[in-house]
Amino acid sequence: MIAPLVLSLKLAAITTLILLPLSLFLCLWLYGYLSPLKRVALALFTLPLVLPPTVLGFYLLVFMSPNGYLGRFSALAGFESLVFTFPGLVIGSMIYSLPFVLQPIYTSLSLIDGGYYETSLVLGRSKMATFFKILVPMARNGVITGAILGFLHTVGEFGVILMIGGNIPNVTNVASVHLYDLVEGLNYSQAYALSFILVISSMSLLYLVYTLSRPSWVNNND
Amino acid sequence: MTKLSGSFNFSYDGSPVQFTFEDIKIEAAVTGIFGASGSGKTTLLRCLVGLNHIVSGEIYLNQILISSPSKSSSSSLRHMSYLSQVTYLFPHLTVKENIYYSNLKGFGSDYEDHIITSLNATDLMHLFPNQLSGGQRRIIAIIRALLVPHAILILDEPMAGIDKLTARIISRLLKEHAKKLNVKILYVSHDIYELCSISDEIMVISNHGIASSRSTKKTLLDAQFSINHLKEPISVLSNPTSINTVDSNTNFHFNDLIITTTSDIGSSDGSYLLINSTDVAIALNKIENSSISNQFIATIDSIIDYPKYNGVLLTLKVDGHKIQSLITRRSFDSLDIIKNAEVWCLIKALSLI
Repeated sequence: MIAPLVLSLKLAAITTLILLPLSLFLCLWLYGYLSPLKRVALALFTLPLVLPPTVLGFYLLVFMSPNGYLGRFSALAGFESLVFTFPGLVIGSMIYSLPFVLQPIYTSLSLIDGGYYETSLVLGRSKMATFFKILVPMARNGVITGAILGFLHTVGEFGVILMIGGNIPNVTNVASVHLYDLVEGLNYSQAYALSFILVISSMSLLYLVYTLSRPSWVNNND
Repeated sequence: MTKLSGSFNFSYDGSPVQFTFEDIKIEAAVTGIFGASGSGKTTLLRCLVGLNHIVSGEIYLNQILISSPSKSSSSSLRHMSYLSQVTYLFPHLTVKENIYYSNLKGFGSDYEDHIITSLNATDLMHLFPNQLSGGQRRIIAIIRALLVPHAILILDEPMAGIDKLTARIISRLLKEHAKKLNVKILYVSHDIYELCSISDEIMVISNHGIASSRSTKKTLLDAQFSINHLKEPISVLSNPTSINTVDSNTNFHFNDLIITTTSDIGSSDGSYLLINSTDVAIALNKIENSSISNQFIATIDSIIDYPKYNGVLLTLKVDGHKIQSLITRRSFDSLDIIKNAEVWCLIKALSLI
């Protein structure tokens, strides 16, 4: 029971560590006027939020298979196949959890009065410096929320993993999939224990979201 | 001398608005920008600073193109520092970090310390903006804008929410700043009294264009300006040659003209006297045994109908200074006044700004 949990945490941690900077750079690009291209991109990034995980899993399976686009590319990079591997799970989780990291950050950024951005530019700072020195710190609640939601959502991932990861112990047998196995094997006592651990740990992290996202300063616009 | 020129269109709520100005020479240390709310003051400034995109046209600063629909120089290339009406102090940075946020440095730390000390901000440096009062936030924002070493400093209603005493200190600092460092200040306000005390020239904005741009005195003596923008015409006497106090009365000497007031100079720097035109009465003879101590012989310089009050606006010449008097049509008829006539000018009240 411990190995699947550790695997889940590892997958979630790696996914979050990649998604956080990626989402920040996507937000840097998205910030400001939303051109039609940016609107399409934003819709695309949000799509995993509403698609059934099985649809996503199916496409990923096709793309990552040895004959798929991603599969052929990964073959060149030295991976025989991404399907049923841990790196494959990381790629799947990144796509699956992207909106959960991106959305809170994007929303927090869009709620910041544009005057702060303008003021920083007028004071001589570049757009990039303004984004990271002013906007991101001011959107810290969104960043914290995004990181924790992305992490938890990856831990809770099931459908996509079942489609592209299968059920290989220590490689793709994460906690959620393991729980499914336990129930199928009528091993209820272990299922109870694992579920309890997942509920408590998720609950604690969500509690942390609302604790950390209290601002230390009040947002004064005069 | 700094010269701005151009004509441009900007889009306001989707509909294009034309704003034209030609060769504004910014010679005065402080140029006041005056206009009613909605006249386009802020928009003009935002276009100058580059925060508003222009749809067509061009803006030049000293013959260098700074704005066109396809080109918009960054604000540091425009050499303009700008303080908007909202202070926008960065909430996660301390006062000190806010003040030194700009990466453009140049006035030197001695001068920076001088400004910070003069505005009593030394003790605030480690605080966060939410720990400051509204007035303090504004002072910090003024310091932040002031210390960016650009040739032009644009202030949009900088004194909003600041008490009178501090406002005087700030306006003195601004004048000193402009003269010492050769910075041209564009100072926006809808308050003519505030502008009189700080600006040497006044640019009047109306209907998205520059209606006039001339010295503060000339602006105030323009009856049409008064009719359009003021409750009543006002006159300003500035830079007295000397001030002295006799028996708790203060005498302001403007060469030969001596104006006496009982009001305490207090914190005012005493360099501006403001006289409302309805506080100036006319008499054919000196009024003895009266409470009015400021009585001067004057000649009538001009007589203009002032329909707004059903009155007549007289410009009086007193020892080379021009003072406006607004009297009723009935008084005017009964006094039988003509141009160049000699009369007594009685100043009932005045204020120090």
